[in-house]
Amino acid sequence: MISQIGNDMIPVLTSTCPKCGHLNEPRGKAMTLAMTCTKCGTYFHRGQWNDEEVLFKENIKPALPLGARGTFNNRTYIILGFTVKRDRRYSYRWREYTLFNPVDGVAYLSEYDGHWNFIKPVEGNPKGNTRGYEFNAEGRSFRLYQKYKTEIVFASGEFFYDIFKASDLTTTEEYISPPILLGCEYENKSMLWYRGEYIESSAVAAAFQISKDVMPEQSGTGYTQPFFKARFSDTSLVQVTALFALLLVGIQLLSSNWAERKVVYNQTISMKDIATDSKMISSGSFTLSGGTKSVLVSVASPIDNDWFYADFTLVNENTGEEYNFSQEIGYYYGYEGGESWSEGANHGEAFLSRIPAGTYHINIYPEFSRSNYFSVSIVHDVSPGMNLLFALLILCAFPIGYFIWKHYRERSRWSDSDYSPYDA
Amino acid sequence: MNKEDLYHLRYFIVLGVLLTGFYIYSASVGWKWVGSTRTEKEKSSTTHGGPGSHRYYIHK
Repeated sequence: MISQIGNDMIPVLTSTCPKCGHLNEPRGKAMTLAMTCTKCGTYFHRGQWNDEEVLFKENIKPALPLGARGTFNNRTYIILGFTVKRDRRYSYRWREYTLFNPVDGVAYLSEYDGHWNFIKPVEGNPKGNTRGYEFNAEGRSFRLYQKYKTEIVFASGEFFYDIFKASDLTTTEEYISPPILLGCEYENKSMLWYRGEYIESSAVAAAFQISKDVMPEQSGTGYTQPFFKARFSDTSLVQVTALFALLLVGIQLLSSNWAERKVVYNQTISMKDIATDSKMISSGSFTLSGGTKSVLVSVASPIDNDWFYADFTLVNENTGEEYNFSQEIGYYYGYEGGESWSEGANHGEAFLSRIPAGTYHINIYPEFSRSNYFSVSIVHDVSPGMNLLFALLILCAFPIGYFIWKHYRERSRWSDSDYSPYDA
Repeated sequence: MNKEDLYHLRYFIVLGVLLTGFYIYSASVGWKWVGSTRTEKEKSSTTHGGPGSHRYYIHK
């Protein structure tokens, strides 16, 4: 229906309900093309009085009241419309709020199982000419989560287009890369893309300054819900981990290369060299220079089904500090049950960490079984190579744990999708 | 890898930096984290050749 103002023929869309005659006052002014009557709830097109007016069978109260104002990204939006939609195939329902800001235009809040997404239309086609279920955009990988046609179960408020016609004609595809979703509503001749981002229920309540208690109860995993509050891509995590791993490997190579590995003592000692009263032998003085470093003490003895044991005392002659340690080696072999076996070795090593520089000697208290000599070598400044393995384990603990945990959580997320990458 | 990702990975990056720093320190002082021989440290007032030494040493 076209109303006339003054003498000029200016088309004005009427807001009078065709059912009850109530005069409504749309907040969206001339942009509102369809609305529900605030008195009787009938859905009608402004200016088009025909059979398309709808009186809903259900009356569903929105969690966020119509007309409420909420601030997102420093923009204040007003809630103009509320719809409850149903997937035509699987019949699950979700709720959508139509928001409006005079500068930013229209936006939407969708809610399913207490999980919210803030959605805005975007220009262009993020998928481009990419075919299939996946594409890359915004430096992320998006995968098709759901494809559906909707049915309007309930609506109230104002709308900038005919929501029934839109739901009848269009098919929706939603691609996700949590917490982001890129959706596409298309029909034969048109395509509209929108971008959504997961938003915490508490953030929605805070935006509209309403109590969290009135928000829908949350259950399950939202299809765009991030598992961490921290949001980063898998690629970035792998890249940062690889960067540190390469750094550690590089440091290890350099430190191995720079390690002096200086032999400061190397001697073969026989039983007759041992003082009979003290049962020990002492090396001559040697100098460990270059600051605090490691010391590797290697012991070898020609043992044969035998053992060798020695206590050692590394003495810093400058400070009187003594480092006491022991070393036992054993080598046994035999033939049993038709099979040969052996265990142990005729040599062993003691790795002493963080030995300060200074003048040292070492006292050795050997215990022989049947062998009667052994050899000892002392090497200063040996790179502790095994540290690299443990450093890599520490470094990778978080990424490995994260990916394992994420794998199981993602399986749960995709369990409701027909396009799960986890399905064979 | 973008700035936002790096921001959200900041704690992991801090861990990596601390680990790398500790790794460099360990390499410089010869600190083997696991498998180092256990030593008992003592302070002797009678160092080798020093006054009051009562030990008998055979030098090889």
